[in-house]
Amino acid sequence: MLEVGDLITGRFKKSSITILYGSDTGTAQDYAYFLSKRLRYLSLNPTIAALDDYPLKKLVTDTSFLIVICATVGQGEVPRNGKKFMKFILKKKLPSDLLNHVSLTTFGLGDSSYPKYNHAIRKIHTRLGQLGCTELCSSCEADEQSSEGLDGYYTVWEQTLIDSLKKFFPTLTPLNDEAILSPSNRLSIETGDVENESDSVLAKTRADIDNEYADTERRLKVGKIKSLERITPSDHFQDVRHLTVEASDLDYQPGDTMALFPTNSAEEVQKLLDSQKKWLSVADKPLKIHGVVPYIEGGLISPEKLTLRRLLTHHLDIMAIPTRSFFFSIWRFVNTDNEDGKREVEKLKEFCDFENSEELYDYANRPRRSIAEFLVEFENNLEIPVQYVFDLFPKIKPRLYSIASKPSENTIELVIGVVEYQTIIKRIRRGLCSRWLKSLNVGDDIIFTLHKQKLKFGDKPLILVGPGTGIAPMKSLIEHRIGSQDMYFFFGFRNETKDYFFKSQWDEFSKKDNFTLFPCISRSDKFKKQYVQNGIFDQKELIQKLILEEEAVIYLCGSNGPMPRQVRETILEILKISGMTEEEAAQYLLSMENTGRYIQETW
Amino acid sequence: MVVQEVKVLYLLHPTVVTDEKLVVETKAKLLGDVTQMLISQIVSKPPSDKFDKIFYVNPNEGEGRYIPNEVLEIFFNCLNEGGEVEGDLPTDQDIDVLMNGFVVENNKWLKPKKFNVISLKKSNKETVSKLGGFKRLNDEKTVKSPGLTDSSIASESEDENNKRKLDKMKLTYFSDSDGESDSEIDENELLESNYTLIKPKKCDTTGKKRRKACKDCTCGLKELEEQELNNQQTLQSKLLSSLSQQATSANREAIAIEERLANKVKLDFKDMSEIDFTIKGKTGGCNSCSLGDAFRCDGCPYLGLPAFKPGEVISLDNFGEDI
Repeated sequence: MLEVGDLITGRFKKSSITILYGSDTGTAQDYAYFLSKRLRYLSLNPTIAALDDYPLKKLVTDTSFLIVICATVGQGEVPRNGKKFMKFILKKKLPSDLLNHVSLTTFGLGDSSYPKYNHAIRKIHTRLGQLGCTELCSSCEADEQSSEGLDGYYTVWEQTLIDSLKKFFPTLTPLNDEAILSPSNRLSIETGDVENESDSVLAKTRADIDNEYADTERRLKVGKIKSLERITPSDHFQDVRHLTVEASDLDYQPGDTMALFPTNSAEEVQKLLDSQKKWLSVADKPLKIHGVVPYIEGGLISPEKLTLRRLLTHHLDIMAIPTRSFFFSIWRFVNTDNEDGKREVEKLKEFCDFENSEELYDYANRPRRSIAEFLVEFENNLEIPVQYVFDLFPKIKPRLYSIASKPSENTIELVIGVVEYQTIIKRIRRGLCSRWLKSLNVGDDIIFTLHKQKLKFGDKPLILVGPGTGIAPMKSLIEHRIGSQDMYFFFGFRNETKDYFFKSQWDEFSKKDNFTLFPCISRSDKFKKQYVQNGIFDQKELIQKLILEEEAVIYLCGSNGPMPRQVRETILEILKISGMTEEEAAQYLLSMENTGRYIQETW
Repeated sequence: MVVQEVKVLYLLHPTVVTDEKLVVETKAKLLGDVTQMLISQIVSKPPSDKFDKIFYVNPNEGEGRYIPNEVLEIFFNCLNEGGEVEGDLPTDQDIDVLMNGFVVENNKWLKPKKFNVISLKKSNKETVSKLGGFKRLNDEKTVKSPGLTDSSIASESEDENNKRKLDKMKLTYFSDSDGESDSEIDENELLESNYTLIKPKKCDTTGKKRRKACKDCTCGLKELEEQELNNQQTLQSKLLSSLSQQATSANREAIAIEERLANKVKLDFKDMSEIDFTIKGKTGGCNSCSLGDAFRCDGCPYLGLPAFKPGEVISLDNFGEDI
């Protein structure tokens, strides 16, 4: 328990504040970083990490104040980078005063158009309370649908939090607004040279290749690309790739995912280096990172081989959309000894101002502008010391894909939709991973990790629903179980000549008794327009029988959006037709979800 | 009369201990009650004494002088008010030094004498409740797991030793052993929040704040956004087209683009790399068009095109075709 007397004696270290975030799309992460910087300008020294990247022992040894910022994903769950944290705090054996030395506040990010919005943060908050945490200040559950938006919630919560913290640190001397914070990891350019290495060789020096983690999930594997073919015709608007990788000692089940580690292209990195004049001359010198480097998924490439160019290529996401916390730091590096520079600083300050949040949205998010483009646009007066690159740029995150092949020790397949689109910016937007993927060749080495989902499909009939690239896990499951389990596959696609993926394989499987394919074609002159939900409804008698009499399991995969909700409503409707009331049907479906008979994986 | 000696912490960087002569000679110059320690010692166990001066010897240069924030905090905490740090200090860490409460003066770091310490009396109950109210977050009834200690004892334990023992006990729950078999509580039982939440004041501004359309937008915002995007692309095309019409023979490439635009073929941006945007009369009336998107007006035809300098041929493919 904290004592008022402690306040005067300065018992609390400025470093005893820990900010943890659980983030899916990066919004929660950016609020966390923004807060961290705000606190540093108050001359506090918070530690910031994703929930799962923080060594939890430090909650006992290093934390007096805990701030959790967390989004909610799926059916009221914690984002992927908070799963292990959640699993830990849920342990029954934990004592009720485990964290009684910790003062807690939480900020949840939610969207009230989803029924289980903000459930993740609520679970975390309640459980940490059960483990003894006291309240630092009132918490906050933000609703993106409200007229105030997430920012409106954040600003009131941040003010309350800062007021509370000031009481524990009465002698704080806030920094001048213009002051530039020390980088959290100091970088230094060393003398000498580094050996020439190709990017794929460098990728294989990442730390997690040899890392002996307790869990094997983080250990990097190396494979070889066996094939990477486009499976949509070149005149189709969507470029979908079928990737096959060969490796050894693979261990995965249907439903598991594979993470790829994309890198930036040499041209993009070069353009960026050109825009920062002082970087170019040191770009290929050995670069040393000092201090404890925050955990990066997959680990850093070998420290002996590190250069600025390689850091930018392998680890820093220069293609990311610049965020508020980015602008919060960057304006201080603009040279203001001329009119242009002064005007630019004014503009950049606007981008981090909560009162003007539409400015930032219109400039950065809406057209999906990249950090690299921003830097080029402001290159005349913007001079970033190399020291700060690691602080300013977000880290490249691995990309997760559902595995499309049956369990195998030496082969693994993915089906990947290449993301390309246009905004008001004339140049085509293309995801970092999509561009990287297109640069790969058959025979290249590729690094990856496997992630277990631990899905259980049982031996009852399976109703499989997977439109578009949602086909991937279905293909894995069907290949694995064909012949030993009844399976009914609703595959949604646009056109029989464009994106009827793996048609010959389905034709082959359909010759067997216990596999039935229901193609649902949405844009064809030849067939009636049909989405998967329509296809399911057409089979209502069958679906009814399967669910109610044969205890079938429903497995649904694919892109987020209206599809998952409409499939769910269709199933509800079918249950009602069987004679259930609205309430009974809802209850039945809920119990299907809770007992693992309705499995949904959407992205 | 009792004369108090100045208490000095004579602090050594590990690399200096090999140079015994330097250590002894420097120490001899220090007056008062001198305590000698290695910097690593004060990190592992911060001294409980308070000093009037810290004198730091570190023969390294540059990066080797760096002092982590946590150590600066220890420096600050083990100095008396008005105390100072001198010696071989880093010169590029003034911000960190300031953040830890020091004043930087003539290569010395001073701990200021007076703070505006809010006086908090232990007996003042009102103050206690104002401090965020240290109420338990949970309803006692819901906690079934036993505690490590009687909580009343834990709350009174000022004793460092007790705290260390307690920490050690707590840490056993964090052991890395494979916890697969540990039973877990059902997270769905944690949904009844009985803690207070902050709500923002109702938004009373114009409400012009733009929200992005949901992925499954049904309210029409998505169509509106698509319409805006189309308008912008039409504007861009018109601009490019009029530029190409004005173009001299040197600008054949732009004409080629115009032709392809007319045929609604996807643009090959490689071909657009050399268009002169600086043709007379083509800068906007607000003079901000050339500055780049950050400064362009809503609906500016240049939106989405790169910044350019008046009088310069600009390049559309600053980042190549692919972004």
